[in-house]
Amino acid sequence: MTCFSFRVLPAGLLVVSGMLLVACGNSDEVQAQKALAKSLSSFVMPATSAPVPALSRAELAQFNTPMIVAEVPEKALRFYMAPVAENGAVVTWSTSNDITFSFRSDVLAATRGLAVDVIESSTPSARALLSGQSGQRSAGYLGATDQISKVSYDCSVTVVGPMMITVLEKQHLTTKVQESCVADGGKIVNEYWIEADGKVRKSKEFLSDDLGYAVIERIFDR
Amino acid sequence: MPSAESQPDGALTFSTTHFGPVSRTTLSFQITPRLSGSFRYVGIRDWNLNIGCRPACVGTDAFETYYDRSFDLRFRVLDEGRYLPAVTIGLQDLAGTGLFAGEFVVATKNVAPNLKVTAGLGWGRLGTEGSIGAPFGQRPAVNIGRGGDFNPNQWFRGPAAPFGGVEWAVNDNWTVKAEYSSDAYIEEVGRRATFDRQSPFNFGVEYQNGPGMRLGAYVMHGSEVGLAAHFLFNPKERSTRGLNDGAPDPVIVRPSRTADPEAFDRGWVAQSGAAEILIGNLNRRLQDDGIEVDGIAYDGATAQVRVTNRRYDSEAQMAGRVARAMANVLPASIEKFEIVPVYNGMPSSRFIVQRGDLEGLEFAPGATAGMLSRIIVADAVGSVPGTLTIAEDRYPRFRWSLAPFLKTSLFDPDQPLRADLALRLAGSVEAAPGLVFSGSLTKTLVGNISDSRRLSNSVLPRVRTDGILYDQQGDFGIETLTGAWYFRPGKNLYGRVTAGYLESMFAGVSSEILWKPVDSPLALGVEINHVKQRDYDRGFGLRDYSVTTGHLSAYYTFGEGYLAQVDVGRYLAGDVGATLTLTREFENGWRVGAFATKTDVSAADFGEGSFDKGINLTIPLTWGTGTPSTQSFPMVLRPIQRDGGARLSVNGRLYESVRGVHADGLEDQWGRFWR
Repeated sequence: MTCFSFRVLPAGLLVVSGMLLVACGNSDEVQAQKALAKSLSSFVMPATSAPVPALSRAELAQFNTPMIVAEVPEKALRFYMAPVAENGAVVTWSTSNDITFSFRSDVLAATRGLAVDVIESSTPSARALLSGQSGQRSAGYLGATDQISKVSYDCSVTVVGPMMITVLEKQHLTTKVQESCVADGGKIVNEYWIEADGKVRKSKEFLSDDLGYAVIERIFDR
Repeated sequence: MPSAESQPDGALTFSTTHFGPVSRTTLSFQITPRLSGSFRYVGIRDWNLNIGCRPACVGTDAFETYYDRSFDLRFRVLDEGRYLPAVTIGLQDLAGTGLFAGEFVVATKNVAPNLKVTAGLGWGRLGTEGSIGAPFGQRPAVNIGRGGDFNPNQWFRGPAAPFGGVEWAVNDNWTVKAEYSSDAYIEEVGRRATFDRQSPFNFGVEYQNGPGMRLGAYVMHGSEVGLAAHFLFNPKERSTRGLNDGAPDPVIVRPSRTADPEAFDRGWVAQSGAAEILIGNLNRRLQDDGIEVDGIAYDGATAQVRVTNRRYDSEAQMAGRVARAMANVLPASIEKFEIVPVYNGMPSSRFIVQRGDLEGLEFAPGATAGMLSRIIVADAVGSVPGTLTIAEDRYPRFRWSLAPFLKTSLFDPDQPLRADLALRLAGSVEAAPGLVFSGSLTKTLVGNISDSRRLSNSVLPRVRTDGILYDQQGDFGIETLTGAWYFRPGKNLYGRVTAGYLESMFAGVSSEILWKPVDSPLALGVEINHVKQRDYDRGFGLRDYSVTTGHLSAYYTFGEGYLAQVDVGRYLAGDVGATLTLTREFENGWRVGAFATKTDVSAADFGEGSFDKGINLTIPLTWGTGTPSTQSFPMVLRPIQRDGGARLSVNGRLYESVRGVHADGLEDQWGRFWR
């Protein structure tokens, strides 16, 4: 049996006012009320979930899986992700709590499980970026309207030059590439640190207006 | 003072304004980009304080506070251009007692980036101060009587008076306003002297922080202070912005046929127990998505999975999740996926997805549009690949809940807002596909609805106006206790028979047949019920009154979310007539509609309001919380509930249940297929 209480006020106050409401059961209505109560209580008492802590390379090595870490500075989020599926050139990586990032030829192409997702996109390949090739990209975002809003970007790519970077205690020789894209909605600037073989070691890529950018580091390769 | 500007298309605004003795609460809806409608509830305090009738006041003077409900319509005939202003024509209180009736033509122009000027001409109430004569003739007197009827012979008649105002936006947050009002408040400041009106000029300052809320403070008519709050909701966008829902399982792509021909072998079809294993595997994938597999059928190349969706308000997202679960679980030889949503045991439509499209489009640039053009929606009846295996543990299924709910009673002149907090214990058993037994008990915990002293004065059978007696005598009782059978009599056809205690006030048998092809904008239905009125204590007992009631219904979707429904038939009080319902439905399930029923009951026999009418509002839970849910909150707002034009309330009516999983419903939130 599942029960929950409508904690729209601190519990103590509710008991005093005789308004501690409880709903129980296994029907759809109860699940719905539970969602509503949760949403009301987060409105009144915002949840303060602790961010995922940063782990050391040795700690992560224990998971014995390829791994990336994505950080979203604007929302203080950190995701550790392992690969879960491959579809042609697209590899999907997932957190343990069902957030996925999909990369096409090492460039972020889709997300799932975020408030605003990139559902579909066209993207340059890491090799094209490394060669400084300018071009177009597009993204279809899914947000509050349940409709795909498509944005087409005109991008110019600048190869900044070689750069030694450190990704979680380990040094990598990369070439830094900047991709500057404009659309009706504004401008985004993605950055990539790409190794000689076309492998993107680190990137800062635009997610959505909602979340801003993600900084993604490839820690253990596939 | 009216303005010529419109709200954004689809916007729903709730305003509450107060000055002196006058309070107005208004719900407005921008029906189309040009047309808007409002429902207003006005209260005027001290109504009989100064007319010397107390304590023996009678008629409309009997009220200490006079309350009235009114409907407005406004239509923007001209858009603002470089030189031309926006022009709007409006009718206030177009079907009311006439006390608040007024018509206007108004123009508004932004003359500078943050300066707006409005000027207009008003009739009726809006033509009572500074009249310039009656250009369209005299205004005939209105018989206030019961109110509720349209008075078109009054519109734009009688004295007309100009009004106007300016509005200066100081910055994004603050606005300053000044207006000249052509409403003299004759009734309120005349013999009733509810306030002292010294001037036609009003001044105000308003604050807003974003489009959702605006607060204002005003100096009204040189003597009173006014306060206002306006709230704007945009049904098109979820209030929480995004969706609070985990990622789907990615598509698992099959190996190529040349690389692994054995994977495509169809021998597994003959294997005994394969269906049960596949159902188990699908359920494991879909459990977290609130989707349950009812059954599976397959031949070597096609698999049909029947599912009950307990979670997703978006059928597109449901279909996307099931399709991906199928791609993860089903053997490689299956090329065609058929997804059949089951509602109350009835297989409804069939979404057909080619597995290759799912694999090829998953991340493609045109994935969403591409899949929409490739998915096929068909009727579920008459096509099963191989034999159907029903999930072993699917039936019987018992569900129950014990949860509080809020009940409200509006517009009682003694107490305009009453509410009860009550508890509902509900249970249901799906005994077999389509056979559902359910019941609910309710108990009022705390509230004041039963305090009402307004007993029925109806001359018709008291099929609804005795509601208060049920509240008073049946505070704990049976709400519903029914057995229902849902079935598909044939292609495009849906059926329902429900028997038992159908609703709080009636018990009996209700039956319905609906014709609705999956891709048709038109649906037709027949409903016939024979019911007997229940005892006020909401126990098992019945009263003497019984009636056979039923309707022929036609439903039509015009596209862009506009729906019309016409019901013709016999109502609960035995009256014969028709109901017209016009609804605008947003893609996420928000609905705003209005209905009116005219039957052979005369306005005199109907009583206050003259005929039945009201507003429907449905808010999907997902819109408010962002967590996908099939639940929504429907509300019906009636100026007054009388006995004429009353319909039986029965659960599980077919049209609304079926429409969501048809082509229309699938396309509405199509963006969520890949989510």
